[in-house]
Amino acid sequence: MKNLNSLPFFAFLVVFSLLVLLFFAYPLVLLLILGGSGFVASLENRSFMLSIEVTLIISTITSVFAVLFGVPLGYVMARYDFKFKSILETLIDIPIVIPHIVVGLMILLAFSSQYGIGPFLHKFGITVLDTIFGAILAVSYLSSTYTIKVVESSIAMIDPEVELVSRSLGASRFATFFRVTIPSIKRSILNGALLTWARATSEAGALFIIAYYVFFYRKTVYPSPIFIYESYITFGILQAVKFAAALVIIVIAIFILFRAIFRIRGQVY
Amino acid sequence: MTLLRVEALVMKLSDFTLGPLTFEVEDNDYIVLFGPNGSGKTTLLKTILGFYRPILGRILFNGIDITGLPIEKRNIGYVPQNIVLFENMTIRQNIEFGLKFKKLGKEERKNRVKRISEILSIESLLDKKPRELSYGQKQLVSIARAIAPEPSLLLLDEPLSNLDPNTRLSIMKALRALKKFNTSIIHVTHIIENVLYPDSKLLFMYKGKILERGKTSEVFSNPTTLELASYLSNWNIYRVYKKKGSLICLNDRICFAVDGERIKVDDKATYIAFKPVDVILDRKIDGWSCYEGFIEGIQVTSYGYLYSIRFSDILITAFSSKRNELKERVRFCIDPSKVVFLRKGLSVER
Repeated sequence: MKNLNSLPFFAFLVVFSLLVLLFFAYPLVLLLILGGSGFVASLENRSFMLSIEVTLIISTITSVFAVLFGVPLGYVMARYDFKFKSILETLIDIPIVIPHIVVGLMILLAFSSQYGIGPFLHKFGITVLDTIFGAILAVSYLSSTYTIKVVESSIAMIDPEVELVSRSLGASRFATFFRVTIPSIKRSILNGALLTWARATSEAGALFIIAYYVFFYRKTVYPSPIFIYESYITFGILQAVKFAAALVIIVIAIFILFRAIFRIRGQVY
Repeated sequence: MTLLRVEALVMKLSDFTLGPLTFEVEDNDYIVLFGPNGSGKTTLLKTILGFYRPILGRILFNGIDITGLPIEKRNIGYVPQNIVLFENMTIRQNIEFGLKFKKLGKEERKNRVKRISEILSIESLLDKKPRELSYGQKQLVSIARAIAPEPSLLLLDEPLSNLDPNTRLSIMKALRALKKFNTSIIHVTHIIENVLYPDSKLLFMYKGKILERGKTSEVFSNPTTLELASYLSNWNIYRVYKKKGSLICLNDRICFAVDGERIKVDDKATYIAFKPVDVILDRKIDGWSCYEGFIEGIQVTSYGYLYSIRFSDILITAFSSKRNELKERVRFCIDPSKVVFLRKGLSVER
């Protein structure tokens, strides 16, 4: 009787969950079926591979910066209570809600030769328009939040007493941070970095404004999402789908490989 | 020699004020910081540790003012109430952690870990990770890690709480073994049964103040404040109804003949108290104040029964290993020599 009663509930869960999963899987499967046949040809396309290279450089450097600056900020947000903390929380969340095209415009404006600190940077030859540096800035703005949030929540889950014990044993604040806190959230940091990396890899909106193409080894190279957009405009959907499938396969492969490596090496405690 | 001197210490934590407190810890002392939850025991411990900065007063450690010194420079060991091991390290690395900052050589560190793990019987755990350990084992490692750098003072925050009876006994044994390290200990607890030595010094804290201090066994058998007697479970406490010569009365019918010296000494006392074990059932004893009442309530304990006995307008709690029935009429006698006089402690700090 009990089992019969719970049947409609489980049916409800299964049907709705399946619909969402199907919605996620169906377009991806179709993309891989239609575009997968052109995978090898895509890898042989020099321009496409350069665009992948540029995208990977942008997203990897972005992840590194997200960890470098995001971990201390995540720590501050998790460990300290202070006046106006909610303003900081909003500031950290803002990049998620601002349209990506707008972020592109903001970065361009903030670092262009005419406004803000732009003129100062220009004196040293630092420009953002159509440069990998500009692309990194835009993508960092949009995707660092993921690392900060993951780090913040994982630090908040560690009992602050751990740090107190560490210090009572003679470890300074720095030693405690690097020997106790950071190793304890190693996996979360990697996960956060990976999320940032994945988000950065797929970014197109901001790049439309700031780095539609970049100068790379004296060539103009499109970041891969824009490369795919260009193929779509120029050659139509069937050609774009081949590059898109190749990009998806490469990104997912790197994602899985990364996770597998860190699991195998026992980074997970 | 005085190891730690806490001098007129005041600490404010939002709406809670700790102190002013003054006390000393001698070399090899074992001090019990006893009191109810929220009395400021942990706050005091963490102020000594250096986590909280006092707003007034100072802390002297080996004669040196350490009030403003960072935690890591104090050489004070700490076992927190929540067991927090370094999850990313093995047990050996956990215990060795503090030794690295002592700049000890590898061999010396190895020997130290070996010695401590032998004393606390945790040798078999050394290569395990914290997640593989039981709660009690984790507590042992937490103690081992704190004692490894051989601090002159060790702060234990409720190390015996939340443990099942067998684990509690094994941790008590481990704590007694700490005598071998020549370390002074401040042991925070809110349960009398967790005190390791009856002759140890005890500080009773209540609402941020030290209300009583002295030898543990004496403080527990002769409380002088209403707060401590109320906190010690099941004590009979009554407001003094009348004092007349050597006679102290709880109401018109229950009076004790106590010697005049004690009444004079405790002239300010407005309460009297006695333990349930000092009320004897069904026996008449010469010199004791004896009455008759009926049993209104029975509470089972692991050693016998606590009876609530109604006598006119007051209830008296008596202990007996013998089983009596509810509503049964019983004779009870109170030992007048065990009656203590109490005053409100918060108005007068000792």
